[in-house]
Amino acid sequence: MFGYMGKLLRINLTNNSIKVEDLDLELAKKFVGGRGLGTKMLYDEIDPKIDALSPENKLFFINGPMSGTPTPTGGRYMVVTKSPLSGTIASSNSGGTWGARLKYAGYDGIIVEGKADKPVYITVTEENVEINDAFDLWGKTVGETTDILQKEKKTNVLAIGPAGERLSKIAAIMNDKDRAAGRSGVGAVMGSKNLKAIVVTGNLKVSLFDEEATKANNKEATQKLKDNPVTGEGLPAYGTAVLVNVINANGMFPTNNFQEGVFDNAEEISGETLAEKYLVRKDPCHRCPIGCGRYTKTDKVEGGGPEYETIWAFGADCGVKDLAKIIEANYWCNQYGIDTISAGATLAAAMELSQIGLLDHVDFEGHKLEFGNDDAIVYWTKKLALREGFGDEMADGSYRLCEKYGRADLSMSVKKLEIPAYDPRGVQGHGLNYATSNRGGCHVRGYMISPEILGLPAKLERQELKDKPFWTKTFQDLTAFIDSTGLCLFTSFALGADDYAKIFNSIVGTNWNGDDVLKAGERIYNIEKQFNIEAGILPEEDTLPERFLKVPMPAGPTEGHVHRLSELLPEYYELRGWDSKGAPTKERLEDLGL
Amino acid sequence: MITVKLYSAVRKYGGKEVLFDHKDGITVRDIVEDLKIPLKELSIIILDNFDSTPDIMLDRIIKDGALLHLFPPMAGG
Repeated sequence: MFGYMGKLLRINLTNNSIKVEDLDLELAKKFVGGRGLGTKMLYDEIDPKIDALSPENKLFFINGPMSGTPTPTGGRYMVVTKSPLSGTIASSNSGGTWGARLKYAGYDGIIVEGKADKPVYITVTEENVEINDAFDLWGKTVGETTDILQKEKKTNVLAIGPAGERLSKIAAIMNDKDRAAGRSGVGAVMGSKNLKAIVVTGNLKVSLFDEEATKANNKEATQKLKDNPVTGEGLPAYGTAVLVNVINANGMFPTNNFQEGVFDNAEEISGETLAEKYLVRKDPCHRCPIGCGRYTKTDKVEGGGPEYETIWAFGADCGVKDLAKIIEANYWCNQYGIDTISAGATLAAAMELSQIGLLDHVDFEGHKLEFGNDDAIVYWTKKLALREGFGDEMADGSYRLCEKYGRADLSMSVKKLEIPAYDPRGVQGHGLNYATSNRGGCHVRGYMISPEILGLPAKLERQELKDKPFWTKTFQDLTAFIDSTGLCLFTSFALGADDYAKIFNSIVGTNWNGDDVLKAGERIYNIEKQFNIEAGILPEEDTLPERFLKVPMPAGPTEGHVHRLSELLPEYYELRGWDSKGAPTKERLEDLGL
Repeated sequence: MITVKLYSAVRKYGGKEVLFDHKDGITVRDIVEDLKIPLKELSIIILDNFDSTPDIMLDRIIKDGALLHLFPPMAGG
């Protein structure tokens, strides 16, 4: 067995059973690993209609074949489960080293079932697997938990914080302290099982089909990443926050809960300012030659991050220009285990509710949620994570908060997952991606910002509709493959489908080309969609908040534009081989081997 | 007057912002050459709210009072 370790660990917390299962290699190759294999297995094993926080839901921590190999960026894993936030498939990707370490312990993945009757944590080594009492860990932050459980160098810790314990539907699963499987509320699923942490220790090697070819491919891929100005210079120097200025200059940097597209103080919260004032060092993931991760320090906190999306969510979206406060909010998200995008966007939605007078009855405890109040973002991030005071009303995300006050339209989300830092009125293909992403409002399912704004691999005019459904589908399919391999999506700034096929072949022993890579991605995209349909997600949920469809951008370089989703969606469905309501046809599913 | 804003790696050619006197017929290329920015170091140019790549933008004539943004290759997400 090459690329894969050949073993899956299945742990049922209801009856404390631990089983080691053989990996179905043919199934693994067909769905690649990670996001693809996890989704296929979840789809086969649970009824998609179940309550996501019930013991019937399962948590897949699952690697790809390239995790733990010497391939550059090969260390990522996926958390696949049913989302308690959106009710859709959840697949949240994370870096750091934990995923690779799981393979070094001998496993492609861990499947957690049932629910423990009291808090537990799991330890996994090459020789042994144990379920342990976590009474003393419950209530502790991610940092405290990790420090207690990290006993040796070849150990990596994955944990939830207090937000996951309190079943916040925007809680994250954290690993290596400040790496997050952030989105879709996967931390709440872990909390619902009373599972605090998974500690993995190991030192095995991943077998490769062709060691010489893998070595040559890795050398070539590393060189391409180094020679590429984005992965070789821009990301290492400034991190992902290098995007602040270019998105703002295009008038699509969402400001004050997407009421505007230009933030006058963008420079103060930019990647350039972050590097100048707060950057201590780069903080790369396992085997990553890019090193976009940041390690920052203010006079109050120090730690990993913040990313571009985080800076936007707590910054422009809340009208806040104090970068030190944004770093502090990010720090508490990591400590309490909460998704920075959803948390910041939920505070922004609360600020708009407050702006129109719907929260006049709320006790803000001296920290009013209003646009521009930098003190409020730190105070209410903590309260949200701990479900204290008004924080309890925000702990399940912006949609449920806004719905409670009769203004669900003020939640800037798709399928209840908060949309990230690009206003779709300024970028038509990316808006189509938001509407059709299988996990809801997500930017990294088909990152059309690359061609439409950044000109990678070629520039597409951002307001043009022609060819956007085709490119959106292509980006979504390629991403589904990359997410399933264990590599970082950022490699795609320098590598293409043929490069991935070559790497995959040398590690796994397949004979794929670029078309096979895209077809595997399409297969994965379709099974996710099928899961959502069977979960009860309605066709009309493939949409965007009304603000983007009906209210033209008020000012700036995107002034006057709305998102023209209705003109894009029919062609997109047709290209996917789906019917007019967005359901895969029988013929398409058969063609994809589903 | 023309306001030119520079970002990330190309700030080494002039800092955050440079002001130019307007001249009839002045193009984006004239500004880029004046700042001595190698073309391969530019990726996205925004002039008067229109964004595109250097091959499309370099020969555009700049109006008085315009705002020009010059970006090197970048990505994130």
